[in-house]
Order: sequence, then C-alpha cells, then structure tokens
Amino acid sequence: MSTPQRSASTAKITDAFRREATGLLGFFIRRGASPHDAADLVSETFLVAWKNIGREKVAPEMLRAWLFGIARNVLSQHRRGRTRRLALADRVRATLPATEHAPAEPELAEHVRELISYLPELDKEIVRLVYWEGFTQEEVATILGKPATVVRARLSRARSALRARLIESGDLE
Amino acid sequence: MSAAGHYLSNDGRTVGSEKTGNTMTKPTVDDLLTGSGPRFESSVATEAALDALVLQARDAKPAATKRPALWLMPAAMLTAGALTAGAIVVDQYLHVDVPIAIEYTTDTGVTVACTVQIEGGSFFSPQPAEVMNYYKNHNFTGTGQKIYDYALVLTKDRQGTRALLPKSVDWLPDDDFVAYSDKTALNDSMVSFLLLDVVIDLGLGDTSGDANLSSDCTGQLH
Repeated sequence: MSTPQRSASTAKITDAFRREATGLLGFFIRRGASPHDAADLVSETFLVAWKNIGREKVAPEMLRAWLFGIARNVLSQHRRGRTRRLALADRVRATLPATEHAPAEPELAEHVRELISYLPELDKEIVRLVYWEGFTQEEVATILGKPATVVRARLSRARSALRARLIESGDLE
Repeated sequence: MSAAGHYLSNDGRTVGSEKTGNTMTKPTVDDLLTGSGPRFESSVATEAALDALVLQARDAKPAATKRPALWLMPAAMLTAGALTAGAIVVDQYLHVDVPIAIEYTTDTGVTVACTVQIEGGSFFSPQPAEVMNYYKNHNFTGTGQKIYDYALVLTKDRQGTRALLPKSVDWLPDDDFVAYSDKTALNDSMVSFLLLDVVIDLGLGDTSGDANLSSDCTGQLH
C-alpha cells in the first residue's frame, strides 16, 4: 500500500530520473558504447536504481551522483561482456542509429581528449566526470567512492598537468 | 564561459572558475577541458522514449531479476546487519546466519577483519540443504585475502592475473575497464567468491534468482 508521502517521494524521484535520462545516454555514448548498447545500459541503470532506491537513504542533492555511480558499474559490466539486451530499451533504440556517426569535432577537442587519455585511470575519470558530466568534486567523490580530499588533490594535479601540456602545444597561453 | 568567470560543463553546470582579466575570448584550460567532451545531442523522439523508459523501469517487477543482476548489485545492497548464530530456511529463502569471517592484510600492512552473511534468496532454492551445509562446513580460511587481492584488480590498483580470479570469473580487466571504487570492488569480489563460486563448487548449473550478501566490511583496501 502506498502512502501519500511515499507517492510524493516516488514522484520526485521519477522526475529526477527523467531529468537525468538523456544525460545518462550521453554518458554511455561518450565512453564509447554504441547507441544501441547505450540504450540497454540506460535501461539497466534505471532498473538497478529503482530496485535499490527504496533500500538506501540517498540525499536528494546526491541523487544524480548516486545514479551515475550505478551507471559506472553498469558500464564496467558491459565492458566485461555482461550486457543484457532488454525489451525495455526497444523504444529508445528505435530512435537511435545502430552506430554513432560522430559529428566533426574541432581538432583541438580531439587533442585535449588525447591528453586526458594519457592521465592515470582515476585522474582521467575525475576529469571526465567534472568537465564532461558537470559533477562537483563532492559528487565525484560519491560516484567514485573516494574521499573528497583525494578527488580535489587529484583534479588539481591533473588540471595543472593538462594546462602545462596545452601550453606546450601552443593551445593555451 | 559565463560572464562571472565560471565555466560550464556540457549540461550547463558550473564546474570551475579562473581569472582571465579582460581576455574573454581566449579559452582557459577549463574551457578547453569542458569543450573536449564528445558531443551527443538527443532528438525529441529519443527524449520521449527515455521518459517512457524511466516509468517502465519503475513499474518493472523486481521478480524479473535474472542472474546477471547479481553482478550489478550496487555497493549499498551489501549492507551491514546484525549477525546472529544459526541457519534457517523459510519458504525456500535461504538465510545462512552463521557469519563468514573475512580477514585480509592490505598493501599498507593493515589487517582488516569483518564478516559476511549469506542471504541466498531464490538463487539457491533448488538445493537449499546442500548450500546450507556448504556454508556451515566449508573452510573459508584464506578466502578473505583472495577477496582482497581480486578487489585490488577491480580497482586497478593491481595488475590482474588469472591466479587472482575467482572460479566464476574468466576475465581480466582491460584498458577499457572502468575501475571500481574500493567498496564496490570489495563487494563485487565477495559476490564472486562467496556466491557465484559456490554455484560452481556445488555444480548448481544455470541458477537464476535473487541473492544478497550482508556484511560489516567497510571496503577498506589500503
């Protein structure tokens, strides 16, 4: 039996999830998943999220970080060959091409991406989450399960290293 | 870049700031990093389909969970709980209430001791007696260190080798693998060694269903 309070909570969560759905799809595609796989990964993420949202106390302001934390796990499983093809994703899949036809990107953007790819794994992910997905450093700490102090220190170091490389290559003054 | 000198991510959220004086047209390192994300623009149709998907996922029956969901359990499903002695089977739902002792020494020399409790769910329902007997009598000495060693592989703190893998895993992280957080890695490793490997040890075949672990392990890896 659902109480009015629970219904209100579910409605808020539903709204929050709806706001993040497109961002999640982009998250998976930006990390190399094909659009069709990305549709499944979004579905899987929401299935896991709905299954667990009632079991965990997630602060409203951390809901987005919590959701993307699940998405990272789902992406890891996908890269281990553990993706399910879900009927749930059929409708989304039907609106997407099977493979990504990346729009022409400025050479500079590709160059910066290449520089990011040379960073240590953790630093790379911190930079992507902050600059590509727009998370705060505290949210990144939640997503990665690392202390915020570690995230701050590593982001600062990575940013300095990237700045130096970009100055070297003449892309930054 | 905003007029206030703050820098926005792909979705318009403020991510940082930098003083640039009057050189508003010159990109900063934050501008370049923010603009380097591969572009993705969804259509109206895709957004509508995603909207529907959120609702359908909400209404999906949890009972539809299949075995792969075991590997997708987020860290919080492995929650700490009161651990009591004994073991019971109620309505095909297996509760092994004898905690499994986990002990490992981290790469910084810290000895960590904690416990895990199995809640088999429908996952073990075909052979609950055998499973119960296994958990009550199996010698888990050394398993804690194996769990820890494999967790380090999942966090990419350690190079993976086949010798470190659980029986249920035939895969080593490659360059594309997104490293787990410490707690998720430890939880995933516990699921592999303490749930999925048991399926192999007992020859349970293609088991499906639901299963949980409860643990007071904090996820400390260093």
